[in-house]
This record gives sequence, C-alpha cells and structure tokens, in this order.
Amino acid sequence: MTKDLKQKYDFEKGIPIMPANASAKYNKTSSWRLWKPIIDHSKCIKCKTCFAYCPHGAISWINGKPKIDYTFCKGCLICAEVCPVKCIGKEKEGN
Amino acid sequence: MEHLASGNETAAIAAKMSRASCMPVFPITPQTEIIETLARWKANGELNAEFFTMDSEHSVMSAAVGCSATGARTFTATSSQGLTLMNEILFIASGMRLPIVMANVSRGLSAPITLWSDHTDFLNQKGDGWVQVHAQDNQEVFDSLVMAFKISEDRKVLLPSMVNLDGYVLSYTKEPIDVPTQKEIDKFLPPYKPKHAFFKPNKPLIQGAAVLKPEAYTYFRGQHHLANLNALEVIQEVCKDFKKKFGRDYGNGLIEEYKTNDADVIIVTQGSISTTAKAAVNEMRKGGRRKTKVGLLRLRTITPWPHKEVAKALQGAKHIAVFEKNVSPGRGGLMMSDLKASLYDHTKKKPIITEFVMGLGGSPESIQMFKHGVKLAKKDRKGEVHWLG
Amino acid sequence: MAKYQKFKDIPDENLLEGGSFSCAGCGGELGLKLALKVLGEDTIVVNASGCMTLLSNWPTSPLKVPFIHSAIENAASTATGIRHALKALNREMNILCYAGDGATYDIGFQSLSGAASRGDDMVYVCYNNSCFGNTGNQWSTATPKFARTTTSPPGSESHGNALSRKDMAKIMGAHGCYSATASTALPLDFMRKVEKARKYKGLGFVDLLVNCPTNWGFEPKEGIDIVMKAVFTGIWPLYEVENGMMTINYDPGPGKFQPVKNFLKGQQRFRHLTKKDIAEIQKDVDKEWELYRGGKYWQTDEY
Repeated sequence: MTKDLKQKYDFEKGIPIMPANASAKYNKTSSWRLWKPIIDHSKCIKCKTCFAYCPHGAISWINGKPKIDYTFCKGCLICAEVCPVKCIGKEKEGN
Repeated sequence: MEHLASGNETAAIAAKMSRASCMPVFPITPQTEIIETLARWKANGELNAEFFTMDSEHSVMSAAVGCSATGARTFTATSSQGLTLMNEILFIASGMRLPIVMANVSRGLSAPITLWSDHTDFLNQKGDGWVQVHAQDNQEVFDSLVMAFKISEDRKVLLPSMVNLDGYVLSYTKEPIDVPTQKEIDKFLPPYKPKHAFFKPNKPLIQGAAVLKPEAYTYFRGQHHLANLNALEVIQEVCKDFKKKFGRDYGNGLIEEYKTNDADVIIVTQGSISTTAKAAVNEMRKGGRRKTKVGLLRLRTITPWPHKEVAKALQGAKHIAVFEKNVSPGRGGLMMSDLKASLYDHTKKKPIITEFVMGLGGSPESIQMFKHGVKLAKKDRKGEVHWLG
Repeated sequence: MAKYQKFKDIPDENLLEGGSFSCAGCGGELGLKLALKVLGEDTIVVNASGCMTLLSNWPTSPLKVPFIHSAIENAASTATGIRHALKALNREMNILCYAGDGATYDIGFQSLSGAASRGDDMVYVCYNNSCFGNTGNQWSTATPKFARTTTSPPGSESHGNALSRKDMAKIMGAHGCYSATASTALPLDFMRKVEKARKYKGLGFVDLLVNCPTNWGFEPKEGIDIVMKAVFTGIWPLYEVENGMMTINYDPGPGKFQPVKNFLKGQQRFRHLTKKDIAEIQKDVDKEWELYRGGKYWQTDEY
C-alpha cells in the first residue's frame, strides 16, 4: 500500500501549518480592480480616515502620508467615499 | 508500587503521572469517575494541571485542540455518546496532527440508550485517523495511557491517541495494578516539546488554514496516512522500551497471540472479554479425548490496522471464530472487513471465518459461550454469522 | 481619556496585510484589521469557519499573528483551551475570537455561552453580516425582518424573513460579561469597545455590524454609508452592557433618527419590501427605542 503512495514522510513539514508572516504577497489581487483610486497628495489633509477604513490593508501610512499599494488594492473605492476632503479620485482600469 | 484501583482511577493516575498539563472534561457514564478523581486531586492541590469542565464533549475536544495546538500536553476522557458528539473535532485533531491522549470508556450507542459496555462507539471511529488501542485489564489501561503519550508525541507519528477500556467491566472493577514511581515515568516520558505548536519564540503560526489546492490536500492526507503507518512501528518500539523499563508487555503492542502456534481454531477477540476467552482456551486444551487445539488472537491496536501481523497470526488455522462485541446494522461486526482484508492480502490458504456478534449492551460473556462458539466454528463450512447473548 | 479618539490615534502597523481572498469592500476583513490594531501582535486569532477562514489559503496568509481555525461552532471552546494552555505554559497573550453571526448566534451559541459563563478571558468579536455569508446568504437568527436570503426568499406567500433578529449583545450582557454592539462605520467606537473587552477579565463580546456588498447587494464603495445609516436610523442600536447595566452610546433623541427607509433602500435584499413592510419595520424600531428611552431593555413585562 505504501508503495502506491509516492511520498516520503516529511515529519513536521507534512503538517498543514504555515508561518504567519503575511506571505499573501504571492496573491496579487490587483487584477480584481475595475477602478483605481488615486490620491491627490496636494489636497490631502493627512487625517488617516482612508487608512482606517481600507478593508484590505492596501493603504499603508508611511512618513505621515497614505500610500496605496496597487498590488493588493481591490478597487472597492471605500477610501474615496470616506475621504472628508474628497482628495481621492478614480481612474478606469485598463485605460 | 501496588495499588488497588478501578479502571477509571487507573486512567486518572496515568494522566496525572504522565504530567498532562491540560485536561478539558465533561461527565458521561461510565467515564465520570476519571474526571471526578482528577477533580478531587486538583481540589487538594495534588494535581499540577489546568483542569476545567466544558459545556459538552464537542467543546471538550475543541478545547483539547486549542490546548494541544498551543503546545500543552493534553488529556481527556469520554464515552459512547460523548465520543460520537466529538466526531467532527476528532477528525480535526488528527488532521492538525495534535498528540492529544484520550481514554474512551466504551459503552453501547443509543438508540435505544444503554449504559453498558460494547465496542460500537469507538469502532465507529476507525476512520478518524487517531491511533487506537484497546486494553484488556486495568494494568494495561495504565501502561497503554503512558505509552500513548510517547507514541503520539513521536515525531514520526504526531497523532492523537485513544485508549479504550470496557465500561463497567474495567471502569468500575478494582484490580491490583503496579504503578511505577514518578521518577521512572518521567525518565520514560520526557516533556512534550512540539515544533508545530504556537509557541516557538518569534515564529507565529497559522493552524487549520484552508487547503483548497487538491494536490496539497492529497499531500497532507497522504502524510497523515504515512504517520499512521509509522505508528505501527513506533507502537512496537515503545512497547519494547516499556518492557525493558517496566517488565511488562502486550504481545508486540499491535496484537497479542496466545497459544496460536499449533492451533486449529483461533478465537479472535478484543478488550476485556479476552481474559475470559483465554480461560476458555485453557479449558478446551485440557479436555482429554475431545480436546481442541484452540488459540487466541487479541486485537490490541485497532488503528492503524496491523494487516501483516494479523494475517501471520491467523494463517495456520483451519477455523477462525471472531467474537465481536459490536455491530454495524446492515454490515455485521465492524472488525470483520479488516480481518478478511488482511487474510485476502497476505495469505494463500483461506481459513473459514465464523462471526459471533455478542456482548451487545453489556451482555455478559462466559467460558461456555466461547466453547459453544468454537464448536459451531468447527462445523462451519461457509462462514456463518451467529448472534449470541 | 480612553484610547482611540481620533483616526490619527490608529497605529500605523497593519497586522492584516493585503492579498486576501475576501470580496472587494469586505466589512468583515475591515473589522479584523481594526481589532488587531487594538490588540497588537501578541494576539492569537481564533476563527470559526466562514469568510475569514479563507483569508488564509495554504500556503499564503495575510495575517502576521498566530491564527487557528478548527470548525464553525467551536471558536469560543478552542479559545478556552488556548487560554488554559497559555496558563499551563506560563504565557500571557490576547485571544481574539473572530466569528461570523451564524457561528455566533446560531451554531456556536453553546460554546460561546459556556465560555462567557466560565469567564474565560478572551475578546469575542462577532462580525455580523446578518446571514450565513460564506455559503451565499442563507438565513441566520441575525437576519433582520423581511430581508431576503436564499433560504427566506420573498414570493407570493412570503415577504422574506418573517422573524425579527435575535438581540445577541443583550443575551451576552445577561451572562454578566462585557457586551457591546458596534459598526464598521465607526471604527474608533469599535476600537474603544475592543479595548474595553480586552481589559475586561473574562469574555468581552462585541457584536460588529459589517458591510457585506456581496450578500446585501450594493456597490462595495457604498458599504460604509450603509452601515452608518444602520446606526443613524436606529435599526442597529449602539450600546454597551457592563455589570448588567446597559448604556446607550448613540441616541439623537425622540423623532430625530432618520427613517429606516434610508437604510433599506440601497440594498437588494430589501428591494421587494412594500410600504406596509417598511412601516412595520419602522414601528418595530420605534417601539424598541421607546423601551430604551423608558429605561427598559427587554420587551417583556416582567423585566
């Protein structure tokens, strides 16, 4: 029976676990996007609202400024909706 | 040191001496005495473990998964309906490869509800990937539980273990047991240091994540299967080691043979009825002119199933009388298919197998019953099924 | 003063990063992100089967903290086990149970009630999208009246879900533990409540209403607006129960709530509603608030 199972026993490697280190970076969700949010930094008041509401961890706060990671942004446009000064515009993907 | 202890007390002593540090529990007859004993020790400050009562057996096994996944040595106990309620999480515990050890005090399944012992409860769990051992007396309950931790925690295995003992017959019967000193046990069973639990410093883990790639899922199930097969060897190694340290053994750990070498008829049993069957073997071997060369094969390890060993033990016999204290309606005894598969795969000469469904819902067995069974088996030409008791 | 008064108080580090398999505009994922910002990296996330289980799809996971998922009905029991094991191993860590409304209100209620009664120390956040969402919008006891689900569809004999939703946070409050409702529309309020639940010795429960574009039927970007309206129409009351005492967090005063119609109109699951249905929902909401304003929390005479 073991012969048919073309595997060797891998000890702990054979256990369905993985390190928690945000390795989802292999899983790029940018292709889901229909609209691309774009921050107009000249109007941005750095209130951190978009950062608070982004559901997908696609907005990071770097040096006191929001930065959209377009590898992961799924284009839900919640950031554009919640921005109190409406400084986040959108652009159709593929144009 | 000699103790006089019931099967339940024995299990509690074994859990304590194995230094299980987490014990989620829930009461169910005939297991309750195990957790009552532990609770008493906890109340008196004699038990150095987290002992806590949950809201159901399902929650007990869930908590046990949490404990073991965190990295603590975990013990619990249950019986029949409780085991069946745990069913879902039993698969999760073994799939996550958590070396939980559980004593299952066997009892017939409802409906109709019964309190007495039969083996249907745990034999229905043959497919859950646990290592399952079935004890025949209280001494074996103790030894098997201590060994179970060692087997489960072995890197080659990393699977949960279930040690089964028969309700009432063992659970409430006091027998003299030999208990080694704590120092001896500690030497035999070192502390549990897992590599796949939460607490490796600075290395957070994701456990129980979805595996949606079919090939990856197949790989992990394959590894689970291989771990189970590894257990066949590890059980034998640990049993040998145990014998060296404590002087006791149970066959090779997988099966126990009694006078099978020259036997024409071999009785197959498991659990506490084996002791009665042994007495029957001795009587039948005495009987003068009408004596029969009878032997006994006791199935000790239920999962993983020792195909080769079972076939080897049975191959010389003309007749085999299987006494099953369980039934799967529409199928018959639950061990039959495994036994027949072993013989089909590994022997040329096929002995005739007579099946006896007996001992259901606690029906008592007797020497006479085994003698009667052997008589019927000798006349059997086509593999009959009899219900006794 | 309590933590998290301004958006600027939110920590910069994301413990839940990009690249998950959740739908665009998922409120459940937003809730998890916010909860982890409060609890920090010394947290074990215990999950019940549901949408958030699929955040981690072997071999990738967007999480930076330990995570365990076992089954749908046992998140609280698993967390109890972890808490005791931590004690046995001499470790102190936060435990966050993150389970959906089906896994909390329905199938997991026993294990949750057990953990709350035993006082096992954990933060339990129910991300409530008012249906069994991951299986595709089936009825749960969190489903509001008249909402369409695939198992309570409207038809010639039906106006959708005939039953009112269960008031889970009150039931949890009755266990004597910390219990609160929150909404993803108000992240700071939610974060303050998670912080309170963390500090509470025992099980701290937060019922978080999350925007679910897929099952409620609206454009992802409208999500925050919709859950905001749930609060502003009074259909999702924000309150806390501490030591058996209930505090209403937001009440603009009698007659000042927006009409519930504002909440209902943007969602496909309420599209079949007649004027009579909407009036009935409005009546229920008004009655509930009358109770609260009269200092009563249950619709029973004995209480």
